Amino acid sequence: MEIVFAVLTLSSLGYAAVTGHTEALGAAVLSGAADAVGILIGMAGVSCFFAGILAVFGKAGALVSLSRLLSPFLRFAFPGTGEDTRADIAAAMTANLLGMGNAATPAALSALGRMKKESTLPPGVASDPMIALAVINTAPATLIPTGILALRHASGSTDAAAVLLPIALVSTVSMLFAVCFCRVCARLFPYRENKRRQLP
Amino acid sequence: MIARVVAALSLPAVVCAAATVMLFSRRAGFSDLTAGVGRGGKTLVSLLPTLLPLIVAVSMFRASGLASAIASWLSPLCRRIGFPEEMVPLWVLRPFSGSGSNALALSLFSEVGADGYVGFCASVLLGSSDTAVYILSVYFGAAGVTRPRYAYFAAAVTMLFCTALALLVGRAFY
Repeated sequence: MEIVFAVLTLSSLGYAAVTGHTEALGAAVLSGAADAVGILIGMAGVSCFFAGILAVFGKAGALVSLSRLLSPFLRFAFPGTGEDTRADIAAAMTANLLGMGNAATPAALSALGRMKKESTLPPGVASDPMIALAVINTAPATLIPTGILALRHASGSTDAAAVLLPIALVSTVSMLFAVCFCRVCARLFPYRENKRRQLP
Repeated sequence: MIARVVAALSLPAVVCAAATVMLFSRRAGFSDLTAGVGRGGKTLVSLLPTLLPLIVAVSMFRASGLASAIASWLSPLCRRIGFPEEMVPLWVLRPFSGSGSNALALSLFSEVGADGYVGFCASVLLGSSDTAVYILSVYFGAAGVTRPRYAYFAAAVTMLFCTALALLVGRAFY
């Protein structure tokens, strides 16, 4: 995060100094800080409301039933994993489906812990299911992208929900692609002892 | 046409589904809705300390003219592959930082509008991808992985696939 912040600010000052636009930069600092609070307030209504709606579904047991629906797919995507591991993966996926990305991380980490125990590879080496889980979560299927809806609404979109169907389509297809690509990679790059490490 | 109807009805449908659940489920009631809204508010407040400095940084980045300079350097290449040049900074930052890419998306929306073609494509890309590099480092850090094998390669290919698909679908739906 330090790197992102430093790259953005230092390169801005450097470029502005070279091109002679430095007078706009001070104003940008002040307006950026002021805008941030306004943006957050603009997002607040939408994201709080959907957090509430999703809490209702979660409490009613939607997570459990969705996990059950996902189980045949998980057996294909994560061969060789146990029942409990797949339950954790399903919880992470369901959280992503409903746009609760931060709820996905603890479940995914728990799944990773179980996979580590199931792995036959030396410690420190990522097993195929571990890689598949991480890669899938970089393009997770999303049905209700709460964050995007809030961002679009805060930016004055008149049709914030227009992106729901495209996002559901793109994210689902990307996730399926990630699953298949990981299976292919697992075949192409099986684990081998790293010979270079044994050289003095 | 069908896509428009589905998009228009999906949010009311979600709300009505929650209403039905609250009416008939023994486990979930209105108090769960209010508790969830409260937690959502807390999550949002916890977002501010990260989002605010990044929005300041992005605001400087835009004001310096560097963002548009990068976009114009890359525009011949972008035009050849059909990638909207305004989306370049967002696309570059997306794998590394969630708050950073949110801040860039907001600045993009304020520049070209959330409802335009570029805003539409950016929304689809942002909604369909996640912070790949960040997720991989958090996951593998927690699991003590020192040899990630093909993980970063597979994540990069997935990101490229996702980008191409987002642009194609953006064109088809917009």
